Amino acid sequence: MRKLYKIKLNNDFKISPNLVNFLNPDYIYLPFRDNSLIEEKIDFNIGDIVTENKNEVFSSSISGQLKHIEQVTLNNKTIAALIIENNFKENKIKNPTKEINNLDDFLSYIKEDKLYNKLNKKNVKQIIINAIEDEPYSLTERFLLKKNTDKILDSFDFLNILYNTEKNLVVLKNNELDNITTLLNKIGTYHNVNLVILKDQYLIGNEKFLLEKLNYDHKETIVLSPKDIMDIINYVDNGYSSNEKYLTIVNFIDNKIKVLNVKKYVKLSELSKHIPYNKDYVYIKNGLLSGIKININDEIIDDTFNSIFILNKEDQIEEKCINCGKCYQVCPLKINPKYRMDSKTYSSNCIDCGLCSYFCPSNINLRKYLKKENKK
Amino acid sequence: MNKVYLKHKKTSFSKIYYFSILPLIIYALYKNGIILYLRKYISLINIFKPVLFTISSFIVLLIINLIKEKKIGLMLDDYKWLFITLFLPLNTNYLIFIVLIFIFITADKDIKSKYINLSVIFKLLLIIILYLLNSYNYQNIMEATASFNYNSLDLFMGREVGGLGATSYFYIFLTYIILSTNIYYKKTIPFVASITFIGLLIILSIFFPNLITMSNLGSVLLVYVVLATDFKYSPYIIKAQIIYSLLLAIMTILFSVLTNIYEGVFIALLITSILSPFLDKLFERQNKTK
Repeated sequence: MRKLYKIKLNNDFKISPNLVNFLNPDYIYLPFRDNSLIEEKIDFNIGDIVTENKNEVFSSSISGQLKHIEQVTLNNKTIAALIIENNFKENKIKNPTKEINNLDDFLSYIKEDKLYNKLNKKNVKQIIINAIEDEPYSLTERFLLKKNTDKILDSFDFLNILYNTEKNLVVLKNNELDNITTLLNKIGTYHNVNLVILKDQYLIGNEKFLLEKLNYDHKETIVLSPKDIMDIINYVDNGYSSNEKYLTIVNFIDNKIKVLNVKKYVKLSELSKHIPYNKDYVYIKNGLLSGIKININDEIIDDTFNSIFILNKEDQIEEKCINCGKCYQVCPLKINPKYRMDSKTYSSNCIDCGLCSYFCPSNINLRKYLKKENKK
Repeated sequence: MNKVYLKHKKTSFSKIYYFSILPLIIYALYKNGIILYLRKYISLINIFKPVLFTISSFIVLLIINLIKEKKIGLMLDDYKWLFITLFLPLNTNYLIFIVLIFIFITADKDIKSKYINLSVIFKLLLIIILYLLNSYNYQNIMEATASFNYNSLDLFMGREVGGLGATSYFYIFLTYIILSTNIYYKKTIPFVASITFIGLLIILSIFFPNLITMSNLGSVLLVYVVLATDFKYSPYIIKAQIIYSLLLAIMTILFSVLTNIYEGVFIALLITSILSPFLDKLFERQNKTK
């Protein structure tokens, strides 16, 4: 059995229980990667697909007018973005009514959505809502589940009927008491839905490790996050994925955590009220263990942006490797980071979880030796 | 550059090593200091002679770290130089000890080689020098002049001839338990080596009772617990550690038991330290495709 570890946290954080809405940005910035507009027009509604590339479609999260192109950063890479100015009318695309009577209807309807590959499986025996967020301090999925429990459970039930599954689970960590209590009260209404509570261990939310723990075959199981369910709900109701995002802001300066509900493709700098700027602060996207350092002035909030961490700049002094072997022992895929560091070869299988660096007694940044993109 | 911004707290790393050496030092002070004073073999000031070597080693480490690493305190792999003093005879010449420990600690900081276990060479060289000077003797003054009738409990608690802090099985076991609370300590090595060694000893004593002479079991166990687990000179892959421990135990039987060389366990450790990097490389090759 794969060994997973608990990450010890500082519990002095004050968590704001309420969701803070920021749904009226002045502008949004849609990534425009050397391709043309889907339609030659200036006025867009919420849900209009503006641009697309081979893997992704970028639909407008606000209604407004196309202004110009500007350079922004996404994951620290400079890209061109189309700017749409908000008219604050919240005009949405007109979605024709459709009937979904069976699984084939459902799959043909969501064919254009990014979740189609996940959902297009035959002989599914169970569906799992994986509400576990591995990155410490991040509360995005937890809040999503908490604020939309009824919607998520109803949709889950609908999916269970479509796929004709017998076993369906909602998986949580044992420290999420609020969600556990809520689900225990509501889950009785749904015949085939069970709640599974797992130990608080880092990487138990990773799909591969979760299915191993629960002893399910990935070919017969669909694993969805609360965000995936909300995207499906939006797509079925409106014809487009969610145009809003939950974003956890973890501020280590004043030890406060809050969750924002923002429009997608907003620039982080527009959230200056919630994300204080200081040149001596470091801003990390999506986690302290596997996240990336970003420049908040030009970074935009895309679909993958779940959390931002604000820390003081600290110089971590790297000492020489003492040959303790802890990095190898804790690696969930047994990759041997020390060998990669000594032989200067990257690993194609590394999932960049950061556990090796977390445990290293010499403060060595092993991530840069495992993945080429971490070196830049 | 992307890195990890959350670190596992290792503030107790140093404290665990200091705590683990404490029982052995206290026992050294008691057996080779306090008892001798109470029985009027030595003067009051000589009570502290057993801990003089450990304290001197600590001070030399602080000085060298200040000069070389520009830091006050011990580095993560400096603890072997404190533990090595527990294996010394009480009558070790202090001047020779200080000169040698200074040279060897400096060399240990500079030499990158993982094959030459300098702490073991230091011990063996010191013993050779003492032997040449005719002062190689582990007995303290009471053990040299009086006669004793030790029972099993005496031996277990350390009432036998041996190094300063290397005679009590009970305190060595306590040291192992304390060190095992440190997540970086290579606890597999002493566990496998000790079980293998004791098992082989029992088997050999059943079949060859006349061949077996064993008088420094405490030293052997303490070597397994503190020197064989040295970060630099022992393998870091668990499977390699198991093979290393088995080889160490077999070589200890060969050099210490069958040939009755008192320092045989150090010779065994010297040889297995040379093999340690090769054992790691053997298992690293298996991992190459990941």
